[in-house]
Amino acid sequence: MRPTSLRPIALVAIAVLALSGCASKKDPTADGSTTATGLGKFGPNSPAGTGAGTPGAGTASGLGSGSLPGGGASVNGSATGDVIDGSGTVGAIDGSTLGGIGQNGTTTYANQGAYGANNGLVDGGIISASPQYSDGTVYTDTSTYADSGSVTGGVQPYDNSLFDNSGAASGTTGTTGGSQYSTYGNQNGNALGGYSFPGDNGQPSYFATQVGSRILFATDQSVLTDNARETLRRQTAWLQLHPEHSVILEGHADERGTREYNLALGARRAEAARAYMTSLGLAAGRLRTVSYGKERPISVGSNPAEWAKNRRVDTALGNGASF
Amino acid sequence: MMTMSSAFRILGAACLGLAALLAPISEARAQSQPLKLTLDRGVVEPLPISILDFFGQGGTADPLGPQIAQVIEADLASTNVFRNVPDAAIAPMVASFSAPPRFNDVRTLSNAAALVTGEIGTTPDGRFALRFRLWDVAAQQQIAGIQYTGDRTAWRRMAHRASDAIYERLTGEAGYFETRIVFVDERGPKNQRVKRLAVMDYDGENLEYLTGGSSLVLTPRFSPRSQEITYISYRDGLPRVYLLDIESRRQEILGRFPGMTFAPRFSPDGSRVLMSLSRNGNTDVYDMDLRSRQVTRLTSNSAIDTAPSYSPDGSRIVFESDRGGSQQLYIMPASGGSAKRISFGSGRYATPVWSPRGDLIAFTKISGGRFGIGVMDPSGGSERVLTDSFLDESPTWAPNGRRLMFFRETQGSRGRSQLFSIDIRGGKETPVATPGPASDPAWGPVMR
Repeated sequence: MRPTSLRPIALVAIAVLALSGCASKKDPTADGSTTATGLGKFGPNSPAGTGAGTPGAGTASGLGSGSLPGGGASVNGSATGDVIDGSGTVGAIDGSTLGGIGQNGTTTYANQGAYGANNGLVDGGIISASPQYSDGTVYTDTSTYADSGSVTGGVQPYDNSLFDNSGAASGTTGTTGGSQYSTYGNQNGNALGGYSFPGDNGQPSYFATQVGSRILFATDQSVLTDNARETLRRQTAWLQLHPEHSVILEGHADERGTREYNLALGARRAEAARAYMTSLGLAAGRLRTVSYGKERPISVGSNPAEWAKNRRVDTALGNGASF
Repeated sequence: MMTMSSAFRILGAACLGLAALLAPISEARAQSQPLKLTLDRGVVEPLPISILDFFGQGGTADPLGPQIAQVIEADLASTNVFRNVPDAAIAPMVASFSAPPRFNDVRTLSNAAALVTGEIGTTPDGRFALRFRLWDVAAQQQIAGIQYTGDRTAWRRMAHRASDAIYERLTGEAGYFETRIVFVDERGPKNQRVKRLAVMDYDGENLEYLTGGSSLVLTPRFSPRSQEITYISYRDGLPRVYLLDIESRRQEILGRFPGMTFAPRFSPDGSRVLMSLSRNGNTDVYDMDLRSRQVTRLTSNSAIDTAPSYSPDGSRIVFESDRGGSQQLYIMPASGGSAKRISFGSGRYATPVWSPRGDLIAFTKISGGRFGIGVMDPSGGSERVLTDSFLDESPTWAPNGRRLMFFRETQGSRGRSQLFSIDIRGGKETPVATPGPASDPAWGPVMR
């Protein structure tokens, strides 16, 4: 079934398509000096491609989290202008390959510069292109890649399939020999924005156990830690795949505060999570916050280790797509 | 919805008859020093007082006679201002309610400085009557003689009212015995607490539950003027401030705000409710006029502003805020505006509550990993921390501003909450009887 929430994203794709088209018409030897923004982590399973390209200069910055690990997402254009080489640092964000159409000389995928967005173009993770391969086949791509927030230099269409994120992966694997373009998700699961969810059944139990529904805070703090942000990115990726779930962010505090203050502190924590998830593109209408203060501890002992477990925001899934 | 218990209906609906003053039955002697305690400097030595069992009608025995005396004894002894003197030896020295005690013998047999004699009777029109006389033993003089009438089932309330009168005559301060406490009854393990609102007489009698436990309820607060409370409930899935009339059990939500509302507290005249509203994670103080339901925002600050409490004259509000980096107490005009910090000791300060007398602000102090209840004057001076434990929280004032109640929660996985009260002039906190673990007490007004 096609999730309805893809519709707004598909609209965005149109805009990106135009941009991509422009880029693809440029001299393919030009470097892909474009700016990439994305969720910050992509395609962890994607090995870097290798090929004969010339490294170009590009930059990537992570949405909300500063610059992407790996720094520059260089899109490599070869001398022939047609082989886009996934080698080097092409979109290498946390080890993934962005825009990385792995090629080597033996493949027939010459990539006539037609991967519109391979030049490091990034916008909400949507790429559309009409790639033309050296075999003369034009792969007219009509798909929309709704990998919201991801860097989509790495998503290249090689057929006309429609990626509705059901089993689709964004983030392309550039491979030597060009024998493999990408991993289109896990055969038995989902992936998005570089997060894969093997065995995903879309159930709250899966979310709680396999995605991670809890983030923790320091004493009397509502600042998101790096770990908390990573968990929220993962949650957001999963929730984008499952628009049928509404979300309640439940803020909690440990027992070492007064009742009213802890209610307010829990509200602050829930809001920190809410603000971050919406900044990643999750629809605000799907999110609601509540604070329980110190009323709902999960750990009942009275020592620092147990208090730490209670300073948290739990992401609870509700029924219905939005509130 | 629960229905009113019949006992409560009688208590709530049947007003006690007007107190009638009983004429002295002995001639007043010249008195060099009237019997009177001065409480302002603390109580050095509790006053010995003996409460004799009340006589039944016409001198017959009435089972209520000893019970009424026990209620009055417990009331007075709980203050640390009085000390009970057993009445067994003294009782034979009082022939009847209409005869003066044999004072010389009373003085020989005990050290009681004050004596209370009483009788259960019937008025000419057939109503139940509770009469008592308060005697100054040294002066051999009646200090007070009062009769209350009402339904027999309201005998406890009449006894508390007698205690209030005795306390007032001997200390010059208002009593607080004919009052009720609303609190949160807690059951179940720490990670699965069931919380219910409950109300009881200040001494633990006449307990009634006000909510059923299906929704989390917190921080009930009594109106200073009526038998109404405001509290928060998660009935709608997020905390919201509710108003509940204890007598009619009529309940309503206060406002439909876009965020969660909590930390409610009545204004001194009972016409307004202060509360906190959290919106987009930011908590500020608001004031609602209960009649017009008009809401006024009083703070606009990215900090947590909560736990507001009016001064008794209604002109100022004390609240807690972390605008300076940690929880501290601030005072602002009742209309909002610039706030002045008043707490400057070590640690954090929370849950300020202005005394009904206006002279002090009670608070919870968090320092060195411990929680204590303390008081300071409204300028922030004369801070005194009265208690100390793993977790003491949520002070509430007796209506006369002389005593505080709070709750204490013990440490660990089996931690439980209990109510305590303490005289602010000193002394040790004493447990308040509740049917089970209890928290968030709120002391109601004197029921007259």
